[in-house]
Amino acid sequence: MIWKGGLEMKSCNEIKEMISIYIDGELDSKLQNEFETHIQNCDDCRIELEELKEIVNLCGSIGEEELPEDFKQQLHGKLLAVSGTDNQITNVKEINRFKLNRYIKIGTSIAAVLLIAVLVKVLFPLTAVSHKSSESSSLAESAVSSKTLAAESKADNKMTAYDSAASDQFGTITNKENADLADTTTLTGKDSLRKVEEPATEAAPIERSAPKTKMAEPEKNEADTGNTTAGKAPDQSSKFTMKKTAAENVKWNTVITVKVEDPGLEIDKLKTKALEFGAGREVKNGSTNYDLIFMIPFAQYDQFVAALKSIYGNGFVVTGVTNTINMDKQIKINQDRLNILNNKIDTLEAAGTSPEDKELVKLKADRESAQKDLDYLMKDITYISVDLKILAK
Amino acid sequence: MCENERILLEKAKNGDVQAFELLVEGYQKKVFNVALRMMGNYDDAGEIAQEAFIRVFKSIKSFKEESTFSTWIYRITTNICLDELRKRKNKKIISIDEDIRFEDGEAKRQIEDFKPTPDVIAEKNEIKKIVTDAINSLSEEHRLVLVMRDIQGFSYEEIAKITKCPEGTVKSRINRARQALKEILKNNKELFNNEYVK
Repeated sequence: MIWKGGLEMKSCNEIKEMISIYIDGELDSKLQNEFETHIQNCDDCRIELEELKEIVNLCGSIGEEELPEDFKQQLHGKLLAVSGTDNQITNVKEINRFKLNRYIKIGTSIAAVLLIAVLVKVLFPLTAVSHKSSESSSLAESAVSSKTLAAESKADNKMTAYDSAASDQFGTITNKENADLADTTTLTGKDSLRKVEEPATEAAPIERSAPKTKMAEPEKNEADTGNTTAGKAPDQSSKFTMKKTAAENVKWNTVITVKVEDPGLEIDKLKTKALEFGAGREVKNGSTNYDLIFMIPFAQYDQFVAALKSIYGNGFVVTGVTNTINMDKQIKINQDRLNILNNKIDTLEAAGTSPEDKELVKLKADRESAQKDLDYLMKDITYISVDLKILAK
Repeated sequence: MCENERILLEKAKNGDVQAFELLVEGYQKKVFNVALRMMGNYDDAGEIAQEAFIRVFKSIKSFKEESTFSTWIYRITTNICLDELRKRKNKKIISIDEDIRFEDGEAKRQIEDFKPTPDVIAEKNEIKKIVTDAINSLSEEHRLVLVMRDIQGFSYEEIAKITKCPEGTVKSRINRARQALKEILKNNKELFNNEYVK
């Protein structure tokens, strides 16, 4: 408190604590008088008041959004399921999707096997020849991943952009045996550049796990994604299917870290370029403001590097180490975790535990998170990590 | 609760889906919007709002009318939002900017962050986007009271009941939330009347 002319005056800090309550008209009349007197005589607090009023106005201007169109319909389905089955089934959509997935799975697998032969011949004759030695690589394995190409072939306009990734994919599928010898493939900057011209041959030593490889996939529907999960891990999918299937995830499979050495360089141009090349919603800052991390479709990578060179100068863009990652171990760990959780949940549910039971709720939450992790691993199995550096001039 | 609602509530307690739907129809938009502003995107908001009504339906038999029905619904909604946000936060601590070393390589697991969502497209208004982005970057505690008070227009008393916090706490929390939002938005001077910006 500050004593001024015998009157007790509130300090600015105390007044600032009251600003929000004043704005909301919740101050009692005595405090309100004190507050208003202070505000009239104190510029600082008056500015603070006006700023907070502005904040309240801004928030108020956001307004409400309408419900999604199918909200009521979906809710209705879920409610019926809940009421009709004594709370055993909580998500009709998930169950329907699973049923649907089974049919799609069979259909797409057959289609994919047929398609792979056609695509190999038509699109990548050279690749097919160069990897002839291991042509016998399991078609069944290829089927799951190559069905994604079915979608691709429909998107004619996108085909070109994805060619290099697709041919790379074929290279790796057929070279799995060789690749097993080398766990990590490291491409130097020079190698990486060569890759622009020779995607098929360069791809050969990169190890990837064929059944899960899904690169450069322009469109992918929910059922498709679910199907992939079912294809890889039928045990899990029959228990619990992924609720959220973000088709777009599959596309962002080249993780790029760009270090900009000279803070004077226009980093915004880099961000804009990244977005142009499909970096999705945003480009993240790494540890510093000049250290960007983002993902772009693999097929766009070489063009992206070329674009950067045209901005910053040919000699100033250095492509670093390119790594590919085999996620099999991670997938196994996640599958095991999911199995354990499923068993625990089954045991509890068989014992008639209430769905509201804390332990059960927690287990289900864990299961959902485990399933999500697994799904991401399955979908984005082909990670390529690349470091780029833009040198100071 | 009016007589009509009471009848619907009784029917809903006996498992009548249609009665339940009528009973909660008036809350759907608000529940969705609370979830939308808490989660920051339409997909999650839709799922969470549905989850909230499913939970309400499942536990409606145990609704004792100690609180009003609306308070109860909004409490369930905000709890689901907070649970989900905490879950993701825990996950993010592991994932953000931290390289995960695998046996044979290294990846940056930022998949979720890069996911473009329809809400981004839907945000037509640039200022609105700036403000909602800023709200999304508030702590959950601050975001919750700010969404409830300044976007959804709940009273201090209602917020206190929904969050089961003393009203005094709610008041100071709202103040701090607005201050925090102001700090975030300060850099966007065009949002403020210039003479107020320090």
